[in-house]
Amino acid sequence: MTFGVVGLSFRTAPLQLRERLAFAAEEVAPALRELCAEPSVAEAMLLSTCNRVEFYLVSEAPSRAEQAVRELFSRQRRVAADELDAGLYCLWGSEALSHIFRVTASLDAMVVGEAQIMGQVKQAVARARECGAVGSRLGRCMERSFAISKRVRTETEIARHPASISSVAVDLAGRIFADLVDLKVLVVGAGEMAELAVTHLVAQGATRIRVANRSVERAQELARRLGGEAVGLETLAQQLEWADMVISSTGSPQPLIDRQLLAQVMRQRRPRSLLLVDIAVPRDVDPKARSLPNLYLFDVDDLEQALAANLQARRREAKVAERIVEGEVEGFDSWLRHQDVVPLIKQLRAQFTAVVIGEAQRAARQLQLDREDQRVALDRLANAIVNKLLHSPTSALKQYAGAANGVPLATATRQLFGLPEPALGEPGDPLAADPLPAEEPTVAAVDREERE
Amino acid sequence: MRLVPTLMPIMFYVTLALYGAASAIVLLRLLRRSRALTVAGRAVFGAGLLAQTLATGALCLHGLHPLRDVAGALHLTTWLLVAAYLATALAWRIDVLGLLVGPLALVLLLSSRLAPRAPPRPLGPHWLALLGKVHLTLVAGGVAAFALAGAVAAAYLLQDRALRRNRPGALYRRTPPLATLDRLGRRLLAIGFPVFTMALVSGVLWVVQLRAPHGLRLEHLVAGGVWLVFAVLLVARWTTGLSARRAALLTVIGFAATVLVLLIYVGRRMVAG
Repeated sequence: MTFGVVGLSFRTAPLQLRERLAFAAEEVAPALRELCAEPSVAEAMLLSTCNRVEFYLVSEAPSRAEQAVRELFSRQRRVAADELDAGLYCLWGSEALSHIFRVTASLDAMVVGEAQIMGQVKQAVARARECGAVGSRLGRCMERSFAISKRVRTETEIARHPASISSVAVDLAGRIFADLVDLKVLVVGAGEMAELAVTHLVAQGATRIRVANRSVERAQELARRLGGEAVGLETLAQQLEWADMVISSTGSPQPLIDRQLLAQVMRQRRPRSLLLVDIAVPRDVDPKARSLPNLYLFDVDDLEQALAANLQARRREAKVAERIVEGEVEGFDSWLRHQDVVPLIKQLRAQFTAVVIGEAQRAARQLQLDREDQRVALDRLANAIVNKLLHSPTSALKQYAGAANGVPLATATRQLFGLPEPALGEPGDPLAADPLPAEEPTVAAVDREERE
Repeated sequence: MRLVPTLMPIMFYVTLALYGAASAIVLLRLLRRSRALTVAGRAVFGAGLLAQTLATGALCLHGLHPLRDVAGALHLTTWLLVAAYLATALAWRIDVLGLLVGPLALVLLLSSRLAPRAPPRPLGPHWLALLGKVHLTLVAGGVAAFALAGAVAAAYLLQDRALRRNRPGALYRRTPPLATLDRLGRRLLAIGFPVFTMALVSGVLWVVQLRAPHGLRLEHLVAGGVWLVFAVLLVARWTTGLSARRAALLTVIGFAATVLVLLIYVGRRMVAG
């Protein structure tokens, strides 16, 4: 059994192709059921976002599973084979594991480190579980990927650098004011960017919002959407005295807020700080106001500059994250291979024990050994023979389990001693027999920890 | 008891090593985000504090008062500074102050080693000796509070500069928001200023009662200047709404002057032998 990824992403396929292949939420379950009906596919899940459409698979026959996915795409999405081939990638084994872990940790994202992907993957796992397409192997792999994603977020600063203009504005507020919940926000103008920035602030808990605009109707409409109140633009001086943060994005050709007005306002509001985020072009706030005490003014260029620095920092942190993922892939792969030999060793031991104990019992009957101490001694002898006989093969199986030749050795052992392959999910299946270690988080645990 | 004289220098070097290691960890924490490093930094500072407490305890067991000379006063200042830092780091999650507190603790401890140890001689009546110890304790408390306030103010100025120039440095994401730094700085001054005022009053009383022949010295004048800086700062904040940035600047100046007082005080005694 091996892990596989078959799909395409923004790196390999244009949006026109991705949007044709994308699956709506209600289409996921039928597609997965159809795919799992193929004998070559043991487990499957589908991750369909705006940036990627990927099937994560567990299969014994990778090439047949690949073909099954191709056919599914052609049948359900009516995409020609050559068109599909241009963007489709198929990864198996360690490469597939690495890809899954990188995607979940947001290292393969358009904006590296964006948090949205984690939720999307969780949703995809939940959908696949609902329709019974995820079993112990894929389930275990995805739980590991959530744990890795969390590790990447806590051990690197990948998520600490805002990656959009609006989130940079919110980050600036967080660098100046202690509590965003009590922050008084004034929106000047009813532009889209300002609305986006305030939406971010609202998501952080800000509730005291006022909107000032030339058109009172538009101000009222935006205020209603943001849960704030509309005020007249003629009361701007008063509003500037009231606010802690001002986001300005009017279409005014002249600066709306000049240095003189701000100097007067800052005298009135002394010693409270004022953060002015001017995202209007041409600018709404006179840049000379920068020198005023307690006033922090940022225009579009400043925000762009901060954004570029943040994205660069994310890329730097991504390198550290890649090393984390690399180590985790190695660890998970090795663990999987070790798990593969556990049932084999158990089977081998059971077979040898049955033979030796059976022969010992037969010998005891022939020799008429009825005393308890004689039977105990015979049992000890039988166990000692099994242990000595199996010591070398058990050590070799364990030693090579994580190595490249581990699988052929296991296959050879099965063939030599006539041991059957355990079916997935049966008592002999390593992942079915071995429950998740207590310290490794489950999907639910990762969810809970994130909320906390 | 016989072990005490042997143990004391060992404990001193252990303390020194622990404060050095803690400073290095805080510096490392600046370069790499890690919860383990934060915990390790606090733990090593705590271990240093414990080692210093044991060294002071050993001194007391040996029958020596820890505040019998300048070295003892410097020891106490270091102890109070690190204790206050740890309390602040835990309550306000501002471990980055360790960048200044760690090296300062090292310098203070090393100065205490270099400062001459006064032979135990009577300084007049018992109450006068007690007044001297009260004065030294208050000075240590005031200096520790001002040092921590100075570190907070320096962090404020660096963060303010990073924001104004739109150039986030290494401290940018390791420092709390400006408003939090300002509030913490105000609280530390609210504690430090009365303690330092009492230290000045007790110092004047002590010098007068000792009938010291030298009269007013340079360190006394600079100490008065320090008091004046902080007094102006506090009054201006209450009355005229002095900006947080100017307040931080004055705090750093006040702290620098406090260091100057210490330097003159210790230097004079070292020269005098």
